[in-house]
Parts: sequence; C-alpha cells; structure tokens
Amino acid sequence: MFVVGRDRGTADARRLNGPDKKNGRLVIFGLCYVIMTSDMESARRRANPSKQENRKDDPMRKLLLATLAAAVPATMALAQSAEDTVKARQGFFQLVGFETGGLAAMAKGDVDYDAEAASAHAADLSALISLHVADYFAPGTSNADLPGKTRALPVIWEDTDGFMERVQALNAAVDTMAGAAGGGLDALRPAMGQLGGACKACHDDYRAKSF
Amino acid sequence: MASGDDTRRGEISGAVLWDPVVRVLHWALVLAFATAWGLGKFGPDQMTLHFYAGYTVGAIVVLRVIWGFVGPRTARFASFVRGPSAIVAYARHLPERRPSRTWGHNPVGALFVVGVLVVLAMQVASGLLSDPEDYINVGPLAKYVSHETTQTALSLHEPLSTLLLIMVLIHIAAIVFYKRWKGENLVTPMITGRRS
Repeated sequence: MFVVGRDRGTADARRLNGPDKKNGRLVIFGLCYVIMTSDMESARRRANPSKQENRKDDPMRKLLLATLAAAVPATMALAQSAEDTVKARQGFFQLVGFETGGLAAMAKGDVDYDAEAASAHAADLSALISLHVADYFAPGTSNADLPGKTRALPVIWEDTDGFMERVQALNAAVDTMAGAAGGGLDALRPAMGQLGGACKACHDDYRAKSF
Repeated sequence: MASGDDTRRGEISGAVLWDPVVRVLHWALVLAFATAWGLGKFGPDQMTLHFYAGYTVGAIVVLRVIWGFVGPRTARFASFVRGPSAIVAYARHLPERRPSRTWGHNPVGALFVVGVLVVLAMQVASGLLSDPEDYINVGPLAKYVSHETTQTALSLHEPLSTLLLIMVLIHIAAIVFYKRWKGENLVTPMITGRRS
C-alpha cells in the first residue's frame, strides 16, 4: 500500500499509482484523505491561525478517519493473500529488528553511544508497536499453513492468551526503552536486556528455529 | 602411573587409574554441563551465565582432547580407542555377571568417550555461532558467518542438548549396571583415582 506524502504533488502520486488496479481503491481513499485534510487545514489556518491544537477535535476529520478506518480493512481483506500477510509480518519484524539492532549495537559498545540516535530508535520502536498488528497474524498464516515461508508456529493461534502475554511484555519493554534510550548508556543497557528478553521469550515458544 | 601393555600391572602395583587432570576435568564437566544445560532450559532470558558455562564446557573439551595426546596412558586416545572387532568382542561379554577389570576405558566406553566429546564440541560450536535474533544472546562468532549458518546453528543447538541429556542418562545407567549387575564400582576411582 502506498502512503502518499502531503508534500508530493497529486499528479505525481497518480502517475505513481495509476496503473496498479489492486491498490487503486486504497489510493483514491488516500488521496481524498490527503486532499480534504490539507484543504481543511489551510482553511482553518486562514480562519484562525493561532489555534492549531484543535485539529484533533474537528468532527469532519473524525468522520473522515472513521470512514478510512472502516474502508481500509475491508479492502485489504479482499486483496491480501496469506503470502502477503506473511511478507507484511516479516517486514514488520525486519523493522523492529533493525531499530532494536541499532540500540543493541550501542548497548554492547559496538558503536559509540549517541543519545539522539538511541532516542530515535526507541521512538521508532514505539511507533512500530502502536501499529494494528492483529492483521499481520491473520489465521491461516502459520508455518503449518505455509511451510518454508514462515517460522510462526501454529501455537500462536492455539494459545492466544500466552502469545498476547509475550506481546504485552514486548510493549512494556519498548515503553521502558522509550524512557531510557536517551538517558545514557547505564540506562540503555538494562532496558536493552528487557527488550532482548522479550524477543527471546517469544522466539523460544512461538517461533520455529528454522524455516 | 600405569604404563606398558599389561592392563593388570597398575592394579597390582596399586597405581593411579585416573590421573588428577582426567578427574578434575570430568567433575568440572559435570558442573559446567549441568549449569549450562539448566540455565539454557530454565535460566533467565538474558543468558550471560549460560554463555560462561558454555565457554567452560568448551575449554574442558579442548583440554581433554590435548590431554588425550600428551597425558598418561589411561588418558590417551591411542591407548583406549579400539576397532570394531574389539568393541564387538567386549560387548559380547558385557552381560556376564562379573567385573570387567579393565585398566582404563573399555572398548565400548571408549566409543562413548569419543562420542560425547564430539557432540559436546558440536554443541559448543553451534552455541558460539547461533543468532536467536534477540540482540542480547547472540553467539560471539555469529557475526563472522552467514545468516544461514547462524540459523542452522540455532536449529541444532536444542536437539543437541536433548542428545547430550540422553548421553548423560546412558552414562549413569551404565554406571548403575556395572555396580548392580557386574559388581564393579566405577565412581570411586573417578574421585580418588584408585580402585577401591
């Protein structure tokens, strides 16, 4: 799915996404959203340049968001195959791993500690875990369903409570990291231990050791 | 120290069956292996102590192999590693209800000694090369090999731990069998160095 940036020209975006019929509906929704919200914003700025914090309470914006939220999963459910879901899941964990790897390199001393870079990694992790990951774990996407493509064990869907506990542990570790990453190496290290421990605890029971 | 081909000579002279290095390495291995295995299975998610226990197991294996070439007679591979015919011949007499009185490792036991050293070496190697992708328990040699190798190592580490547990159980069962069935105490010599 393409995310169209506000600064990108709409003609440019149409050219980019035009021929892709699969993504067409999503793109149109996205473009409508971008155009309407930016129009609303500029109109509001003209009317009341000092009050930008009211954006979130705007009823029109709420309606748009609600429509978008309802439309996107419905469209996705039609478009996404089990393989696509596995790819999205792996892409998600690739990003989680990339950000965690950056923090781990500092915690281990492989690269020099940099408060700004560490905070950025931690902020990105917080952003990642705020995604609605449930659809990345759609039923029918275990390594029993797709041998050789994923290491996600069927027990994820059989022991949902246990799996959710591990997810909560990861969320807690990411929250700890968000508070610790910028506070020096001595704060980063124990937070890294908690974060890596959350990775391990889930890999042990819910991820196969090989494809 | 026993020397020469007469397996009875040491026994008659009351010499040391297992030299101090063999005994210390044996019991150090018991402690290090139990620690590594227990921490691996039940230990904290941050596996620093498991790593140290694993390094210790690796060091013990290396020292034992070196000692197998330069140590006294009963410690040397050349003195106890035997061919298939000797192994079969010994195994055929195994059910007899009398002590074997072997001075050192018997041919079947020797097979086990070599086997356990090989599997321990494989286990240490697989641990050193493993990358469980948790960013805190990455084997120290994982960064020098391909990602596929780190994942192969990871997929071997747990099955090998199960194999080693089975080998330990066989080892203990053999000791009980020698004591109860054959009336031969194998534990005391490994502690005192002498046959009781």
